Amino acid sequence: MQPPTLGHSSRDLLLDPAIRNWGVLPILVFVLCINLLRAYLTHLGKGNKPPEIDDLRRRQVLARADRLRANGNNIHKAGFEARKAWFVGKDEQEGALSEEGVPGAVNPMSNPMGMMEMVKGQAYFGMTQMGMMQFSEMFFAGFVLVKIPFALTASFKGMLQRGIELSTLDASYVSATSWMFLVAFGVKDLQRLFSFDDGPMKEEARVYALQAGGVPLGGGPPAPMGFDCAKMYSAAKGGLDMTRHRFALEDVEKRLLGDRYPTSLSATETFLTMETPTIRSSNLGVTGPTHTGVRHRSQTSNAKGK
Amino acid sequence: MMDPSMMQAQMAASSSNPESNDLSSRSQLFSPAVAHNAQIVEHVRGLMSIFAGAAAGVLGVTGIIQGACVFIIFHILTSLGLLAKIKLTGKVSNYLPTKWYAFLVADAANHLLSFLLFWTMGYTLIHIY
Repeated sequence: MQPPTLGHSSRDLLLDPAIRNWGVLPILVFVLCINLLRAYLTHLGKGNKPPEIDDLRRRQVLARADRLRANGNNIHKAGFEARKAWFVGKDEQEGALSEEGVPGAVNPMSNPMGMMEMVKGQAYFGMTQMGMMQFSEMFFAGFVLVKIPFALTASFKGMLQRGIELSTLDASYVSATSWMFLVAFGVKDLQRLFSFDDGPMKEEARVYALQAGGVPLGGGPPAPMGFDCAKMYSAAKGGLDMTRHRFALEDVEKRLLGDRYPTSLSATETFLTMETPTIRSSNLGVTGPTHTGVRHRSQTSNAKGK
Repeated sequence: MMDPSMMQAQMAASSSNPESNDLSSRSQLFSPAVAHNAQIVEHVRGLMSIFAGAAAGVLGVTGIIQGACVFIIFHILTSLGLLAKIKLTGKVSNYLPTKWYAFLVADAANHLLSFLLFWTMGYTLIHIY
C-alpha cells in the first residue's frame, strides 16, 4: 500500500516560500500584536472612576431582593416575612423598594461623557481594523497567499481575491486582505492565551460569569446604559409580594432519617432503642430522659411544682 | 496550560453547598467559582481548537464537512476528558450550571474561527509552500 502522500497533490499550486516568510507569517504576527496592544490599551485607559454611591446602593438592594426571592425557602417563615417586610413595607411603613425619587430609565443621549467613552472605544476598534486592511492592501497587493482547505464557489472570488486578476484560479486561493480578516477573527483565542493574567482577563471572567452562572459577578454589572431603576424596583416588589414561602426544612427530619424515622408513639422507647449514638443530656446540662433511662428528680416531681 | 491538579483543587472548592439540591429545586452555585471554572473550560477548549486546527491542516484534511467533523470530534473528546476529570469527584452540575450532555457540545461556536484559522494555516504552510 502506498504511503499517504503528504505534500503537493497535482492540483495544488506551489508557491514561493518567500511569500510565506514575508507575507503569511508577518500578517499573523502583526494582527496578533495589534490585538494585544488594543486589549492592553483599553484596559489601561479604563480609569478608576468610583461608582456613584446611590446607584450602587440601589443595585445592591435589588440584588438582595432577588436573592431573597430565590433562596427564601431556606429560612423559616418568620425570618422570611421580616425580610420581606423590610423590602416591601408593611402596614404604614414604607419598604426599601418603595423609595421615592428613584430615577427612571437613563437616557444614554443625556449622558455626554458616557457616550463619548463608548464611541471612543468603538472608534478605536474600527480604526485599527481599517488601518490593518490598508496595510495589507498596500504591501501585499496582488499576491496569492493562502489556500483555504475547503472548496468555495466562484462567486467568492470577487470578495476573496481582490487584486488578483486570474479568472481561472480556484476560489480557494485567497489574497492577503482575506487572510488578514481570517487572522483577525481567529486570533482571539491565541491572544487570550498570551494575556492570561489578571488584567485583561478580568473582563472576560465577568462575561463568563454571566454566561455560565447566570448570576453576574459582584452583584451586578457596572453602569450599563438604560438601567431603569424605577421599573426594576416595582418589578422586584411585585415579585416578592407574590412569592409563596414554603419552608424547606419543614420535614427535613423525615428526609434525613428515612427508614429510621420513629413511627411508634413512645418517644422514649424509640429514643432508647435507636442504634445511632445520641447526645448525652449530661453533656448539655439539659434535664430530660438520659440515655440510661434514669430520670432526673425534677421530672418525677408533682406537676404542682413542689 | 493550567495544571490539572490545580484545576481539580479549584473545582473542588467551587460548589457552595452540594446538599442544596435536596432543599431547593434550583441548585445554587457560588458565582465567582463558576466564573473561574468556566474560564478554565474556555481556556482548555481554546487550546484544543488551536491544536486540532493545526493537526487537521498538517494532515491535509480538505473539504468543509471533513473539517467540521474533525472539529466536532475533537471538541467532544476534550469535553469527555474534562467530564472524566469531574466525574471522579462529583457531578457536572456541582461545578457548572449545565447538564453533562449539554456540556459536551457547549460553546463550540466560540472556537470555530480559531480552528478555521489554524486549519488554513497548517494546510497552507505544509501543502502549498
